[in-house]
Amino acid sequence: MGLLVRKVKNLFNVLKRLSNSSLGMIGMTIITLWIVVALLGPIIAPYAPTAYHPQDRFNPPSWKYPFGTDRFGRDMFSRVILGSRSVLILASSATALSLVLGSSIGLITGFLGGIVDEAVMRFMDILMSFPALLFAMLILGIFGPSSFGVITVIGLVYAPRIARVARSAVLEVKQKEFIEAAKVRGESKLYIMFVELLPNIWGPLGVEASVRFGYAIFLSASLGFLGLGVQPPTPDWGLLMKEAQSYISWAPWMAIFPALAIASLVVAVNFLADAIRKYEAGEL
Amino acid sequence: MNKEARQSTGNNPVLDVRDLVVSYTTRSGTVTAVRGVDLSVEKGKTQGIVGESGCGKSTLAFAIMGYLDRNGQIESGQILLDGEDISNKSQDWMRKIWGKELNIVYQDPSAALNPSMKIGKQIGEVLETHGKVPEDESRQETIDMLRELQISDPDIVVDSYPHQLSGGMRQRVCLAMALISRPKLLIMDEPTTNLDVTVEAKILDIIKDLKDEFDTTIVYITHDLGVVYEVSDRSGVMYAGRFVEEGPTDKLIGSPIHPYTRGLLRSVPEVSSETKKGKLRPIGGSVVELDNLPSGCKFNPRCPYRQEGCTGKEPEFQTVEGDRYVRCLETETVMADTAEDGPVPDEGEFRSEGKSTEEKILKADKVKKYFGEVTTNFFTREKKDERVRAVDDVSFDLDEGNTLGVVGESGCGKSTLARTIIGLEDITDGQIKLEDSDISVPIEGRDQEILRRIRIVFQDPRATLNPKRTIKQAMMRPIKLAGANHKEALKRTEELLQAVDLGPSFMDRHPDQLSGGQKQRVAIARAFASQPELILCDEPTSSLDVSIQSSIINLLLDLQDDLNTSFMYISHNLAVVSYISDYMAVMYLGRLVEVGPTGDILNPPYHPYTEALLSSVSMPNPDVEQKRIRLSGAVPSARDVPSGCRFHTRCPRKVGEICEAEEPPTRTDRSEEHTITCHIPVEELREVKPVLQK
Repeated sequence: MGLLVRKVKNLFNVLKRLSNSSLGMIGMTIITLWIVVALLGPIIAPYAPTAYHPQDRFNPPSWKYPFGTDRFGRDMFSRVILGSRSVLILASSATALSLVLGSSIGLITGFLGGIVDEAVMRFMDILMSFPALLFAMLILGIFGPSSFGVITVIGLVYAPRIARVARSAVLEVKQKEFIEAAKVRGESKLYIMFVELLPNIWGPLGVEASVRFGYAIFLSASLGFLGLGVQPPTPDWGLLMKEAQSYISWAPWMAIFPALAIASLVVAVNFLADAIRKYEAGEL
Repeated sequence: MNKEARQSTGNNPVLDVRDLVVSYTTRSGTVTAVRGVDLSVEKGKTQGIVGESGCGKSTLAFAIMGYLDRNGQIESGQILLDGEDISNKSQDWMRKIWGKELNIVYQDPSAALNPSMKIGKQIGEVLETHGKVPEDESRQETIDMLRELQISDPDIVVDSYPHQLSGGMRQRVCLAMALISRPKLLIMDEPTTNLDVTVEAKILDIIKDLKDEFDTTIVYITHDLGVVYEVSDRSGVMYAGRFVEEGPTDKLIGSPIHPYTRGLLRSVPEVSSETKKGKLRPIGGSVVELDNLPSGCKFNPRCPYRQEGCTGKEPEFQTVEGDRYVRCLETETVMADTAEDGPVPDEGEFRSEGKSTEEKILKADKVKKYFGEVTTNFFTREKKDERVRAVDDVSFDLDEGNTLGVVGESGCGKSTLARTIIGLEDITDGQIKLEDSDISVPIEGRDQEILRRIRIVFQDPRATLNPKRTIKQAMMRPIKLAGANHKEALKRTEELLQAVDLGPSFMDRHPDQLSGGQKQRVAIARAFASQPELILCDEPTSSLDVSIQSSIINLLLDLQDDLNTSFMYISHNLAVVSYISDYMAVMYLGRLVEVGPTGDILNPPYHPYTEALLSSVSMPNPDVEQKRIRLSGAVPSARDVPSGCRFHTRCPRKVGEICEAEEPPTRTDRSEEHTITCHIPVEELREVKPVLQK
């Protein structure tokens, strides 16, 4: 239990240091706001996101419908609020997946070196040479659109990039004498990798993961926009943009508010990523 | 008082620092690193500044140069260069005198030189920038300067890039660059610390010569009392941002007054062949933290002469014997105490002598470690052997409970030898035996029991502990691997930490909360955790301050006495090795050139290389007369070793062609244990005058 308390305290300290940078503070505030919105969605939202109001189709923003309504008269405000859920869940799960995959691959190849390293990293290069969106479309096109598919695909797309970062961090740390000391006392390779090495590369991994999280939001929204992600009628920011596409000239609010939502979250994540980078470099 | 007194001695000082206070702004507040320093250096004189890390000597140098970091500021005081105060000048103003009137030589010559610029251009730039000479003339002047610094073939060197030169050559280039504009003041910040003793000795010779020739005023900063003794006219000892003692160097070293100066001198081991050595006397405690200074005399918590008054007011500089200054309240008591040792907390014990046992703990037989492979040309099928012969045909054995010291310049293969023995490198050829078990296999092929019996202590205390693991975790792991349960491991960890003088409060700390010396103690405790029979020490004290070094050495010896552990102790520091070892091996370019009991190694007959190493050690001892032998050049590449005797390219006693043509024979001295590998017969080598004479 003591350990848990210490970990939480540690995390709190890190967050406090991150808030020393004003951009980091803004980023964290916006992200926290969106997390709260996602959690309390149904309570905040004035209407059900899928409730039709046939008499109020294409209403511009008003007190009744702050973000206006769409072609079925659904409240855009409620849809944007509920849409934050899918984006946050998809992007964070995908990032977590790529972090697990990427850091394991980087750790193993970096530590073992030699032919394994060469082979695996060249394969990673091949994966990376596909444009992310194209690769995702290809896979989802074959297996059919689903939330699970989106998570897996984004996880796979970004894993090689995280593997690269992990590998280069490992190459630096593995020459340190404490690693040799571990070898000398007969530790297994797995122990050295996951107990001695891994905790020492969290820094660069954290920076990379936070950057990837920003990209993952974007990619999941893009896939939603292309109809390869969450399926209607579930509200999703990418999907909302897609629906707005045909009416953009005379109902621009349908596109503007989901776009602002995506932009605010991506920018906030990038602010935070920058603060994490500075923290790792000891500038905060 | 003393300030006026000081100024009257220097009638026209080039550098006059008055009551300088420098502080740094950090996240946790303001830290004063230099707390009121007075210093005046006359023209053509060399002022030594000695101190351990964190005493403020580099800050002082940077303040004089105007190189303080953005978070550093001069709070008060003046820095007069030839009468003009430069302490508050702008960067633009300073730029005009940097390189021209004021110059600095750094510790690391490879970082001080631009790797992509030819030497001639870099040095010439100094002249051209200050508009002293046009470009075509600067080249000739550069060549002359390089010749002045005893660089052979200066016209080739000017067209070389820094990476083509050895470390010693690079430092000479830095010196040339600093001196070419004939600066009024030259600051040297540990210029020889990173160099081998043989190279250091030569650079120091050059500095001494240049001083006379150029009449340059030098401020020489170092942690090494031996070096200060060699080069400087006056010296100051800094502690906690202030001088505690200042005076003519021979007096300061010959009869130190301040307890700190005495402590420093006493904690340096001396090269001496006496077999019964007293314990080293480290200064207790550790260097004070600048943000947490004690009241009164800043040295009082560590001082063996401490009286009640010492914690009151910080003592002023007092004049002693006319031209010496000491910051100590108990000056008279201390001076009256002429006893060699002074009141040191623990009674001086004598180390037990190396035990002679029949048991050989370690046997190395024709061990070879080559890096790289023989390559075959695809077309001509010619074989090309460019393997690096890091360790080449090394044989020795080590008695149980004894210490074998291995010395040699960097690049001689001593670390590779240790790494091969412990299995971090796989052996190319030969056999290593730990008692009766063959351990000529890399770590993966050794069983847990073998691993338990042999351990290593590394050089760099910052890298030796995993920064993410607590001391407790680091210590308990090897004990558990040896088969203990959690409770036993915890108990043993406490005992081990106790044995290295670290209390239980260290258990839950992370390495970044420990000082370098404390980390090294943990590393030693960890090495002993599995109750090994043999510990390889790879320069364990070379990155530590002298006062810490001595306590680490004492600790190793105590543990050896208690546990009968055998050591192989590797160091470039002859004094340390001769102090700690029962047997010594002198290594040159992958070969052992001389092996024997420590006493035999330090007296004739010597291998010519041993002789040269001994004469290169700078010793802060006026009573010892030292023969002067300087080796030319640097250690040749192990990729392309010289034919015959590998030392022949640098050997001052080279006999003739036989040295180049034939491998020298290994001959024994009077005792079977002492062997010398040289073409010169032992009888002839025995006639050589001892290098060190009282």
